[in-house]
Amino acid sequence: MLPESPATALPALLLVAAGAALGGATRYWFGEISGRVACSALPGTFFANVVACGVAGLAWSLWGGGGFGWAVLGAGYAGALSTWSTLAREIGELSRTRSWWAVGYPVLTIITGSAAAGLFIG
Amino acid sequence: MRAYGLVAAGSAAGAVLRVLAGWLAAPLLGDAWSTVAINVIGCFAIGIAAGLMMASPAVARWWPFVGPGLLGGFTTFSAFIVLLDGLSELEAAFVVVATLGLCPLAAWLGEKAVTRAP
Repeated sequence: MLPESPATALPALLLVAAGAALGGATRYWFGEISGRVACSALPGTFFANVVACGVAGLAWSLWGGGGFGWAVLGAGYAGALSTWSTLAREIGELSRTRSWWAVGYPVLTIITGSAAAGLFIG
Repeated sequence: MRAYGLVAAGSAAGAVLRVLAGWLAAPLLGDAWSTVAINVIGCFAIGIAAGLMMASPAVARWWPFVGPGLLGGFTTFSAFIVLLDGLSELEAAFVVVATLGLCPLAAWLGEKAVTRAP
């Protein structure tokens, strides 16, 4: 997502920030609910990543990775709703306890996330 | 509510940094590989952050801003998935394997780097 011109760069970044504030808070909320229901934030991370892939797929099909629409919904909201950093730490946790889930969990997230994005693209 | 505010503010800053890093890296690496690089860097950073926070309760108060906020917003799973669509099958496989291998490794290395006994 490159800015079309210097004049659009700042508004695009502001839209990214606004979308991401909401996306990050939504992910945290999923983690809180998941922690309460399942005693682990992991299902919340999974759900956040899959929903984000669907949202990003929709945004990609509409705006193709550019413009203000992609900035707020794709790069901002879906970008921050999804995460690799928490996922990587959860994989590390799993590898210390239940070894096969350390592989199965990220693979399942990739397959389900691709399916969610595939509802709108490809 | 404090945690939500910190996560939202951190995520906004992290996502803006991700987009800026993408603008810098995409002409060199392309969109998909710059996303791989961003995710690996973010995972290394969350390892460092987690290691530091575990050592200091005072710093741990800011975990929602740094961990799920800044680094959660900086790294992205959705762009990683969406960008696979534009790649050849072979390159997509490389991107998936590289990310799957390097992200957990980077998080582990980051944590090791700051928690190793002096």
